[in-house]
Amino acid sequence: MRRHPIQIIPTIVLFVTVVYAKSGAEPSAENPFQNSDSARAAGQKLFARHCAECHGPAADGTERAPSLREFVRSAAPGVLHTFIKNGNLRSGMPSWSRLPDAQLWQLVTYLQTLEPR
Amino acid sequence: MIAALRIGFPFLLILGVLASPGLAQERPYFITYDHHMEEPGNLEVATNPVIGQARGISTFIGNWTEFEYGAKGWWTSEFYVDSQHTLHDGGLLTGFRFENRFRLLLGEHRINPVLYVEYEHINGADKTLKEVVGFDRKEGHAKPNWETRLEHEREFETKLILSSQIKGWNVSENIVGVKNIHEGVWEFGYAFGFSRPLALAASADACTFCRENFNAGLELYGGLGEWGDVTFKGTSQYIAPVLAWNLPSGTTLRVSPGFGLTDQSHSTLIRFGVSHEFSGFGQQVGKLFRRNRS
Ligand code: HEC
Repeated sequence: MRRHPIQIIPTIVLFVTVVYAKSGAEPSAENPFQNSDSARAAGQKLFARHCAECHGPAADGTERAPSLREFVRSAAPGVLHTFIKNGNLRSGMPSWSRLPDAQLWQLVTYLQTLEPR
Repeated sequence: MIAALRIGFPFLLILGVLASPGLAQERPYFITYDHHMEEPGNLEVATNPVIGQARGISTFIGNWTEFEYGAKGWWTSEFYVDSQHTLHDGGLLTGFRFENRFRLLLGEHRINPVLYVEYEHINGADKTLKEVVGFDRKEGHAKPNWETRLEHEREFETKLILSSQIKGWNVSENIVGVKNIHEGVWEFGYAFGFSRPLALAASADACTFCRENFNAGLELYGGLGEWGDVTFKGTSQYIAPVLAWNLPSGTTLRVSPGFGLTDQSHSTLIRFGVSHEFSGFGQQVGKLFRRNRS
């Protein structure tokens, strides 16, 4: 029995999907908001809204999640951005890819101004 | 509807005492799922009425009340109670659903697959139109409640959810398969949605009406026939713009006027949604149990 050419379409779609999915998100570049005061303020607002429930209002940790004050200063902005975007689903840090990149950079800007305690 | 509220209200009260509000960024879709999971330990409570209208059918309000819990970062559980009220007929509870969603890849990828499995026990009077599958037709909603409530459906449902974030846009595709546990063949459906916040960067000041709090998009969903007869024809198809407003208090309001595209569809399905997120619900309940034990 000859196969109709259309029958190959699902295979192609599956193949392209897998290759595309595997290729992953592109690595993040520089923080476009480096040292911007308004981005810092926006980041602080976003932090209170999305992160404080676990990391505490001052980012020094709660029973749900660790303090961010040590990690964020030493981390490169791009690394921090990628980490927040991906989260660590296994250990309970949600993925924040639902926030647009600009907001993630605003969060990074704010976090990197925190002093260690 | 009233019955659902009667169940929902005391629940909300207990929750209000137990947990503080969380402030999530909710998807605007009613039907389509994306790959974003509930934050672990958080509980979201939502109620989603839909007003359906079509020629030759009494106007109705279907409703689902949902409790969505973040069991793990990669696993979200949901429990639904469905109800409806039909003009010139009456209202009733129509059943429940229990669903689980699992992220198949933990990191963020261009396409993020999620597996969805659900068990539902509803009767034929259900009018939530949350899953449009098989050869769905509006005539199914023309019969009186006393008759349809006697049809019991125990169904197993599964979805493959594919979702991507592209430059602030979310694009999600869902393939749906539903099988009655005792009889019949697999029925299929689909949902496709895309959406974007009205502003990508956040403003510096605290605001309720700023553009970043609004998320707008479009959903398309409908039946795909059944095993051995997969088709777009002879079944319901809908197109529905969606708009969500995330209030700083942790409440999200959503609205979506939907329009039927085929003769089998209802002419309009207007959906509303109110949801509220309770942060740290799991931890609070855990503490309650530990305290009682000591
Ligand atoms: C549901 C709780 C929860 C929320 C909400 C949350 N986090 Fe986390 N976060 C965690 C947990 C748990 C960890 C520890 C993960 C680990 O051990 O790998 C973590 C780890 C981190 C780390 C790495 C810290 C380190 O020392 O390794 C950063 C950075 C971070 N979170 C940033 C954020 C930001 C920014 C937000 C808000 C957009 C946020 N988190 C929201 C639970 C949460």
